Amino acid sequence: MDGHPVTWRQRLARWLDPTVAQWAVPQKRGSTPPDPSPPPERVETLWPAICEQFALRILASAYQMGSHLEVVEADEQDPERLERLYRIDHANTRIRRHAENLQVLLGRRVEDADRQTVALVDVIRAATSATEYYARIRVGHVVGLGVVEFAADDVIRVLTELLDNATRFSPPTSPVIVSSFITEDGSVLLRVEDAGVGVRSDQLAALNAMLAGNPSAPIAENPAAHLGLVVVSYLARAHHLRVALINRPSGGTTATVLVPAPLLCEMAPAPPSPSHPQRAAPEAHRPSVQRGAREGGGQVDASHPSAQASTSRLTLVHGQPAGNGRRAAVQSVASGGGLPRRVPESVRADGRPDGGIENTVAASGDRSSPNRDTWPDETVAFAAGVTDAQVPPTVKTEGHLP
Amino acid sequence: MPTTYWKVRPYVLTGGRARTRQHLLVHTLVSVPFYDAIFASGLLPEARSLYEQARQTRSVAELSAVCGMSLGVTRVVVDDLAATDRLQIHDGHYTTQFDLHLLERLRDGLRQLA
Repeated sequence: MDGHPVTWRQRLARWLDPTVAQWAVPQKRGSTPPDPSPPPERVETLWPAICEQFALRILASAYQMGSHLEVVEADEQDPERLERLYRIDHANTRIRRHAENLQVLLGRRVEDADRQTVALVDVIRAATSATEYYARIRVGHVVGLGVVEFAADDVIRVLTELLDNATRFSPPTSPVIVSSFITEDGSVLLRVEDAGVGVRSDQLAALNAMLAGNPSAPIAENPAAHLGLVVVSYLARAHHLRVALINRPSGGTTATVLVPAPLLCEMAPAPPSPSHPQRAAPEAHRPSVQRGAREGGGQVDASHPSAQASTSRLTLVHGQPAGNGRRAAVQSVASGGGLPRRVPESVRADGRPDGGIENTVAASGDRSSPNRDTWPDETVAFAAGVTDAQVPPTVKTEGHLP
Repeated sequence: MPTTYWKVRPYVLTGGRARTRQHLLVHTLVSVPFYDAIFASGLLPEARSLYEQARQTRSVAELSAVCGMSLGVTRVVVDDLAATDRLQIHDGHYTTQFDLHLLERLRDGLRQLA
């Protein structure tokens, strides 16, 4: 040893990849001619970039695997194989989590796919998904708010690490309870409660100091020992989350995350109960649906019904009933049950089969929960279309009908 | 109906289970014997939408489509609700003569919808 300092990064690298040691060792100066390999300072500066590259590649593979798994899971009918797929999915989710955490530790913003406002109940369950012992996590009271899209995934990551610690350091039979409460100033407090052994009081103070963003805390000197909480402290600083660990007098630890009010928003109000009185009169419902299926789905070629179904679903989800002047020919007539009915001839003359359903919805005035009502109708419509295809409609063969 | 965020994996919705206590086929009919709004408000979103949709007697496949859940998840959630007697499972409503035909139609219908 020539006293060449081995930094923790090199130690970590050697531990991660034994081959690194071989090209890091011949750093002895003097005896050998000038080394063509880059000087150690350069290697040092390169490490974050290398780590990030690997994090990105691992993340890309995890995403790829996840999308394949989703398809296979949806198709799998055999419970035993499905359970195995769930275990693979679980492992893949944890791989994704670790790759994301690596990016966080490198100080990079994680590029999550399909970012959106996430309801707190889904924040909790997404965090549960990435936890190793997820089966022990129980969801307690959850307020009906959501986390805005630019912070949702980071709050999920914070909660994941806290849940992981809680499940890891508590007896394998005891549940870990996670809940959320709204506070006076409009922020939300997430609580993770375990029944573990707790944390020593001196260590607890050091951990809380680190979580509060104090880089000189003794814990911060050896980040490898508390990787999860280091990730938490990075993300907490970025979003002004207040994270704290508290020992419970009855044993165990409570981890709290205070999510500030600017990161919260209302979720779309839950649609009213779907079983409103109109459901009781399916006879009034069915004819209009059947007609809708006949014009689009009763044809022999299979491309039409699916195309129609997808367009109408898209329109309904966004709740934008088309108020197009060109579709003025479509009339709505209220049926006995108060539901509007379309006149089929006018739609056919219009030549735009997708206009019909949109107008029915627009006229019904039930825009708050259109999705709930029309989804089953589409199923019924499809079944009706199949039946109709067996008895060809008027346009196909005139011979069957008077 | 708010859709579940993609990071919420199906195994979390079922607690890692895919097996059910009762044999649930795609065309097994399910209904709610008496609707309890307070009970419904305490359920997680998936179980709640399923419980509400099943107020009208529906098949498992239909519930899966209406609630936007995979069949594997739907089966377990239905089974869990049935275990608490909140949901009634009607067995043997189809004669075997038409079973295959019905299944094929259901399969084709679901593929078209997807």
